[in-house]
Amino acid sequence: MKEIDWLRKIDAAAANRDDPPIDVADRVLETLRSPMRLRTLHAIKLDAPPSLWAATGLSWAAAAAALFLAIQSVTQLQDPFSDFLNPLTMVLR
Amino acid sequence: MTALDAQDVTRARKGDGEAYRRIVLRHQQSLATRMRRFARGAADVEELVHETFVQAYLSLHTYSERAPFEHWLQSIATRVGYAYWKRRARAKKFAHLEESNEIAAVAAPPSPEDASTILHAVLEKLSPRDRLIITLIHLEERTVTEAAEHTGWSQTMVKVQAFRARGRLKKLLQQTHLSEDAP
Repeated sequence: MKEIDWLRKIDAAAANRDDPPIDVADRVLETLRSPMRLRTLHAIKLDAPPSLWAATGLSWAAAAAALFLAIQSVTQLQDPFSDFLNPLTMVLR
Repeated sequence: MTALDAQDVTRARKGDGEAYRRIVLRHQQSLATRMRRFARGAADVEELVHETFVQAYLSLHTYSERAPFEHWLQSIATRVGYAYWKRRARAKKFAHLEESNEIAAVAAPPSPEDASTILHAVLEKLSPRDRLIITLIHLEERTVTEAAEHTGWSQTMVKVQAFRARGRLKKLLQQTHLSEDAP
């Protein structure tokens, strides 16, 4: 626990900093009265970068496209006379 | 919860902006002190306090009034501060203080300003998760139950995380030879 003791001593020394008082009351009320800023804050609340959502969407779209192409290629290679054996290809066509 | 808080929370829930202003005025300094654990710069601290009050207002309907209002506010502050660390770690926007030069140069004996620099520089080298648990358990001396409430993790998770974080902190301090120069 030597490292914790050291950290606590540093923390205690840092606590003696003479920080000026803050006043955010006006800004808070201003934000709460601004619908646009509130929407932004709601978005931040999700705590995920927009790029992450875009990447997820793109990967789903790519997977769906790959599946569609695979099914289509299989149905095109299929012997046309054997369609009655494969109801799925009938539906897709 | 103080009677004043109770009264103002009820009014603020009904949309009374002035009641919420009184809440902000009553708690902003204690919140600023807390947020200085999460950020060093005055502007960043102010931004975090601002964000905490806005998030608190948006979540005011979830406040159950069983716990003191300030405790509830502090747990929101923890989440806001933690999200801030995660954003910084993700964006890698913050300037790393290299342990070899800048930290060593102010290692002993530190003024309050230097101590704050060292503290943030060391803790920034930990992951946001490790940093949060070290801050809650060892610097703010919260119980495991309180830390679990603040983080939303289970108590077992808090204990495991604290143990691992201590190990990583120890390793970090050994690498930088800092703990030997304790003030």
